[in-house]
Amino acid sequence: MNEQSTNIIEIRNLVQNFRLTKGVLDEVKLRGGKLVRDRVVVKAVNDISFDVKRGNVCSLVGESGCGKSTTARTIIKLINPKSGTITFEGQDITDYKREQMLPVRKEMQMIFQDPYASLNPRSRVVDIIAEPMVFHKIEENMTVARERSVELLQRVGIRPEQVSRYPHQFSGGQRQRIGIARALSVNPKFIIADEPVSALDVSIQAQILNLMMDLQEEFGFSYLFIAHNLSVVKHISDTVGIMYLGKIVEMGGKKDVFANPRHPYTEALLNSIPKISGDNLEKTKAIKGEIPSPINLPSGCFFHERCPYAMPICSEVFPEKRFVSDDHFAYCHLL
Amino acid sequence: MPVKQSKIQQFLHSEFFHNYRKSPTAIISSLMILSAILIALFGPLITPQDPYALAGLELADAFKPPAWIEGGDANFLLGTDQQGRDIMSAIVYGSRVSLYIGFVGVFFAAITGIVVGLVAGYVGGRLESIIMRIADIQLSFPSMLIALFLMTTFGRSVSNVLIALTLIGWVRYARIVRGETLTVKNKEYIEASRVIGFSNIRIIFKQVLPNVLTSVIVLSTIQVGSFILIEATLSFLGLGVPITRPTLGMLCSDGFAVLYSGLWWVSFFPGLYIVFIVFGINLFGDFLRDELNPRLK
Amino acid sequence: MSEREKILEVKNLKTYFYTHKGVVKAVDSVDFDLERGEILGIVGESGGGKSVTGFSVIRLIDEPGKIVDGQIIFKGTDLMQKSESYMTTVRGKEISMVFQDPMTSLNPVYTIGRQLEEVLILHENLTREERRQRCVELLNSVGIPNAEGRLNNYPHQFSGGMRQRVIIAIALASNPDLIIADEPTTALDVTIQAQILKLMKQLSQETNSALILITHDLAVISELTDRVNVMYCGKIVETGYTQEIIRRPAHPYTQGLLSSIPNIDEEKKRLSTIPGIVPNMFELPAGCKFAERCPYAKQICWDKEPEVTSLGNRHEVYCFFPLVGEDK
Repeated sequence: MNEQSTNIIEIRNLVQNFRLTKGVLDEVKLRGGKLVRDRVVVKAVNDISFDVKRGNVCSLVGESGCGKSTTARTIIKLINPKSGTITFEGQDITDYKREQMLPVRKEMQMIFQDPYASLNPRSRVVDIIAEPMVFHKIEENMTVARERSVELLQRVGIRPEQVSRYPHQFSGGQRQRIGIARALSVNPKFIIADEPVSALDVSIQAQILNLMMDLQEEFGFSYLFIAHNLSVVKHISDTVGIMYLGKIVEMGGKKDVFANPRHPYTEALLNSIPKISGDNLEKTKAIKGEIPSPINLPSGCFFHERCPYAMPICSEVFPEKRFVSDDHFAYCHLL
Repeated sequence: MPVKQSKIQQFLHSEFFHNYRKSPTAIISSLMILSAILIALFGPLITPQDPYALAGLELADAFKPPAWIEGGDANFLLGTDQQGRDIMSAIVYGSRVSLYIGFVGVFFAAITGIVVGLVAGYVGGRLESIIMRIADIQLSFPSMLIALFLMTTFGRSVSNVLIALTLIGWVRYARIVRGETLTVKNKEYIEASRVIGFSNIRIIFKQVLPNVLTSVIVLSTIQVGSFILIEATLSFLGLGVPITRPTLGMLCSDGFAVLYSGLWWVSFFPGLYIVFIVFGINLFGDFLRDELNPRLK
Repeated sequence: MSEREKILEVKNLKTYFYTHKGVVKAVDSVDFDLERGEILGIVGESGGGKSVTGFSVIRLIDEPGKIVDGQIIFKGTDLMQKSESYMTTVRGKEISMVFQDPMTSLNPVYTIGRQLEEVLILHENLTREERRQRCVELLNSVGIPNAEGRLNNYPHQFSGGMRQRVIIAIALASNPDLIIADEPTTALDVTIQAQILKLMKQLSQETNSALILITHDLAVISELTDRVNVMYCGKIVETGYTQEIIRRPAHPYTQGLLSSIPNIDEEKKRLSTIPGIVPNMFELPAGCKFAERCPYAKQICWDKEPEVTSLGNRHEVYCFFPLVGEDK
């Protein structure tokens, strides 16, 4: 166990895909007079590598089909990767089975997107926080755990009188706070937040983001923050990665990526954001085309069909990793 | 705003209760069910006779028509059968066994079906396919046929009837529960539980199960009625419970023999009571189904 | 003094929902106008009443909701005085609607050509050939490539962005005077959203249809709309020209909304927020609904509901202590 590593998580060549068909009977088709087996595979994550430094907030941003949620769920081992490695605190947890993962789970938690589906409707809120504490033997029994839960819930803004209620009695923003408290209940070192504010109103988003930042300062854990909204990410991240069709197309320190985007897709994302100044869409050209399906990945660089700067080589060869500065890289033939 | 309402207060303020009060069918049908249960529980205390204590029967009382018809006797409101049994008392006693079989049968069928459905839905894969194919195969056979086969082979007894009903009834529970489990298992709170590290067994029974019970409740009301009818049919054919534990179906069956002699009341009233019970249950089941239908946020 | 013709005048609109827990005043005494060809935004958070306002204009309010009061004067006729059958001639032809979720707004068992045609069959008198032509034109105008071929496709064969374009095409089919768009891009990806917003702006200018754009996203409002109504708890708290309101918000809620938006051009460590949460709609406070979250609230704000203060140049605010004074 390498305690001195600056990285809390190291991902190398992670691959994840899903079969859409359920069995032999669905896969067999008649083609050209012959029976063939046609597996439909969703290639969600296509060989990505990145690190999250201890104490940092690393964000992964992208639109639908980019694989960011799948990446999150693979890293936390809700699904096992098809290939690649996940190294947590120096341990290779890629092939860990349930028993081996148990102590790791205490250190690695997740905050979910949908406040209306992330809490068990049949459990009291205080129990949702207390049960993991007892399970991981952080507290001796439910009575003590409940006391600590009340404190933790207060820290996230849920008043003690409310803790015995059920999730449906809380608003979306409050439920998200409860979800955050649940993630914190086991004192993790690393938290993956999967679009934690996407389902909330703008003014509540701000409250939750501030809370998440305050908690990070107080408890010192690292975040992997998944989002589709670049503006949200700009405020809270240290490192930003842009994903497209299962690949990280650009990654670097936040200031670098925002001020000096090197990948055409990053540029397109920045141009597409409606701005409060009201003139962004007028000035910039909206990017053409639709996001291709992860079932039929384009050849060469996945973005070439929509890229305003595409060259012939872009449709043939996937670009290599090119470094723009020490920790800012992108995959583009233009570099 | 009150901080912690008692469960009863919460219920009385709930939307469920509000709609219940507004719906005449819900109120009437629940009263029908309630009265059937009360009659079964406390009826024997007030019936004029115990129709199965042979000593109390008098052949002289036989074949009396219902009290409001000429020849009737006020002591025997609904008439008597060929052995002098008071039909009303017989119905009360018979309904006890019928309801017992209905509720207990549903209980066992539900438990079996729920466990099978949960496991099939949550585990998925081959296990799920195998279980669902078995269920499909069983559903292709008419339930009565299965019941008749079992009762003929293994003989008449209350426990055999219950076994038969369980073997018939688990399938519908398994299918519904499996369907709901598939929906629930992908919800984020289940993912959260897995991320915390809870074991699958714990998740299935403590997290998934409470959230699939809604459809089970609705199904159970319908199944009670259905089981009472199956049992009644079996008894009518002479293949249900032994004659020493008479049921409403058996009463119908016994009365059938004398139906054509003009003694219509011996079959009619037990039959009518079966209709009353099953109808009440089905109506209430309809109301529950509409009520418990998960409302979108 | 407006020069364009007024196409819609909403006066004192009240839409209430009668639930078993009590009455929700989703829209409580709302007034606004709309001119031909204008783009008006209605912005606010969940529960603010913006969607219900949109549905009320077109009188698509179902049980337990009811429009209890108000006038909806469309092209000189008060729609509240008209029958439901009259409304069916108006909907889809003179006023059409674009809904939020492209995944569920189209019927999955009919081709999109059929769904486009339906509007034309209902409201126009064209021959079959003319209809087909028009469908192709419409699909072209919303930027769907290979329009003729795609008429025979089913909704599931289109992506989310494409479906939304189809829905816009359906909304435009009968050359309506007014389009109500309820969060039309919220469910879409950012790059697709940009495409659709640009499309809507362009089409609105080309066809001279008025557009009511309902959204919670102030940035979208800023990019697209001429004027905006800011709603909170069923009431309009501020209204005026969009750029004016964004530069000089007069109502504390508007100001709060503006400062809590993470702005990609700014460098801020902590986002300022509006403290507290939206009040319980069943127990709305007396007086100004925003008082409990307002950093500037004084006693009068708790006691009385604010009346309108005009700041000139069509900028109006409902507040006892507006943040800006009158324009010179």
